[in-house]
Amino acid sequence: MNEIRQESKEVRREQFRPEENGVSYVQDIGDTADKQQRRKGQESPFTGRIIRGAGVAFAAAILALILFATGHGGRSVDKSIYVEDAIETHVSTTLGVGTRILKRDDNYIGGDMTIMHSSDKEETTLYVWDYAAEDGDYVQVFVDGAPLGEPFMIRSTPVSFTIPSVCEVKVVGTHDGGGITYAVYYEVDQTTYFNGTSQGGDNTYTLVRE
Amino acid sequence: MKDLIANFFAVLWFFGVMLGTLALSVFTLIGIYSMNIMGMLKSGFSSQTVGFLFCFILGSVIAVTGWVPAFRRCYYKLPWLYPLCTILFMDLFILSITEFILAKGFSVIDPIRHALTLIIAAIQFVVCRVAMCWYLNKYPMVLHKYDRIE
Repeated sequence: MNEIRQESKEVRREQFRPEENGVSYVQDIGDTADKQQRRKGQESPFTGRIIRGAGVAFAAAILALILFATGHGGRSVDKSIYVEDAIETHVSTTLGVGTRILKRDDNYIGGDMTIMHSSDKEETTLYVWDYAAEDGDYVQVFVDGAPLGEPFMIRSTPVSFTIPSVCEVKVVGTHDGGGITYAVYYEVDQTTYFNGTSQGGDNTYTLVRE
Repeated sequence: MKDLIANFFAVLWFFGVMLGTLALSVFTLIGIYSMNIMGMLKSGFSSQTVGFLFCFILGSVIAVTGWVPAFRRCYYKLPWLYPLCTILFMDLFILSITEFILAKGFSVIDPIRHALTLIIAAIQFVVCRVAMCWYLNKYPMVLHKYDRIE
């Protein structure tokens, strides 16, 4: 009987510890409850929740990083020896599709071009992308006067279109996010044209078979 | 002595990393809503998304704080910190998804696509907020509750 009383006294002493400044529960978590659990080699439910939460937060952080990467082209500026020539001539036969040659837009307003080729294929592929900063430029592509879809935001990731190998391609600038700079690559002559236009302006590419 | 060193690192972590990250996340949360989301809705044009980048930063800081016992002391000493971090991270993640959906949807100028994007973004936001409320209702962020259980 004495033993039982002794035990119950101990339990009461644990449960009704005097509080200080009315915030003793804050201290309890860190200084007693949690430490007691740790001494026993167990984690308190609060610590367990923090650790589980950390795992979830880490998984969410990785997911966020992946989603961030998919939302951004993430292409770095090409530093190869061909870039200088491409900046100067705005044409390149060596730089690949999706190459970024400038860090920021240079407000370049280009002109129309005639592309001569000897391909006997009926169709070819056209790639369009932003060769400078992804700053929210929108363009619309027309082939022989007919639009190829709606205006779209150009990114450093190229968008491809299948077009006739003999036609007139018009790229219209529909929204300027800070100078509409874009590049087009025609598979038919395997050349990239680094061009630019203004909002409402356009560049025409005439594809002619030799 | 061991406690003293752990506390020192906890203070260093809190003032050196956590406080700045939390402040940055709060400003980002406001910025995403007032500038990015409202900007896209008003203009109809897509913009650069930043939400997920800050989700990654905040999530990483929360993860490190939770995993490193010395840094975890921040949560024990400041009982408001863990609920703040958790709810802020949830808020930021939900708003970042909304921003992401709008940016993707508005990247092509098409009225039908815009309408669909708005519907999907609204549904996503409401569903995520309801799920967040359900979770916090089931597992409330009342710290002294743990104390009573223990």
